Amino acid sequence: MGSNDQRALLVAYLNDGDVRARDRLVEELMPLVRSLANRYAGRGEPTEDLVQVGAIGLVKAIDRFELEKGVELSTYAVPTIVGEIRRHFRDRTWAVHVPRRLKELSMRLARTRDELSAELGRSPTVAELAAAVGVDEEEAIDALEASKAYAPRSLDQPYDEDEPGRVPGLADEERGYAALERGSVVRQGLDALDERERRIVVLRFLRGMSQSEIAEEVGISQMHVSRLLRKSLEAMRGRLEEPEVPV
Amino acid sequence: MSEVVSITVPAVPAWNGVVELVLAGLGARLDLPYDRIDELQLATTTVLTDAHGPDVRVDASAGPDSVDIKIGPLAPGARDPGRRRVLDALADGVELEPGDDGTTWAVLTFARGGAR
Repeated sequence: MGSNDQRALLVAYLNDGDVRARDRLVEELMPLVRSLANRYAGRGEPTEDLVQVGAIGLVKAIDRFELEKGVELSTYAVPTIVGEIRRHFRDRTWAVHVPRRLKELSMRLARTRDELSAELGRSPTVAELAAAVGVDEEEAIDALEASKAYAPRSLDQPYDEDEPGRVPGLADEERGYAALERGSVVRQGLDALDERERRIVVLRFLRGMSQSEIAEEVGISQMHVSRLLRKSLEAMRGRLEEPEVPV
Repeated sequence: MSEVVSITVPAVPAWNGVVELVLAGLGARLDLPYDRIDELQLATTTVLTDAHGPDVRVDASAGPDSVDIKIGPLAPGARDPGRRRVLDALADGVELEPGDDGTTWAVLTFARGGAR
């Protein structure tokens, strides 16, 4: 369908209220929705759900489209579709229900943790974190623990379309993987991880780097490293159930 | 004098969060850096995978220089080299002690300094 045809359908729907015209447009642009949803696939939410919320974004974009703007519908719709997918992650990717107040506090603590780490040159204590954000220690612990219920991947780091899962500097770690794989039976567990998780596991458990050093090297927050380590160990545990040679 | 905090929970992963919460509270009382608390939790839950149910006990003893976490009973011969490597990286010491009925207990030692 050419852009003139799309325009004709938009006119039919927006000016004359022809709902079938809107349905045709949705049908035509679903491949775009699917391709955008795929960028966010593999992050703990079923791709089909992402396609569904993306489709809602598309419908909203069609409803709000202004014929006189003179832009292509697909160009106009992309931010709305992506916005809807991101909103879905924001609302849905806490594995358990966490009150909004706690979510906000945990995000503030994550930022403060990174800031204080840089300032102090070491990981801050709970007391230091609590004092910095003005809550008591128990509240800080609550929020820090709650943050572990958050799905680990950051939406600010979408996959590279050409090389999904590829992270910069990964080639440098090849030797690390080889050593880890030679030296232990972790290999089977590593198969359960994606490349970034493998890199973090190698940096932590083979190179002995601290979480803050990894955070700096990989360019993500300490909280994020912690979450990825947890997720990785969990995935690896699943693969390590078979009995192994005792140490 | 060492201070001991003990918790016994059903040996199913759903209770790991409760153990982690207790360890976070203990770590905060001891003024451990948050990284350290995090790794103490990670190491403990890694060992909990080997719990030889129905219940598992975690005893955390805080000495002047270190925190010992004793976890058990564990299934005999349940530890494997892969998991041991993970524990060695997280804790300053990993000991396995025989318990009653052929079970094993793990004792993880964490220095009360910064993250490793």
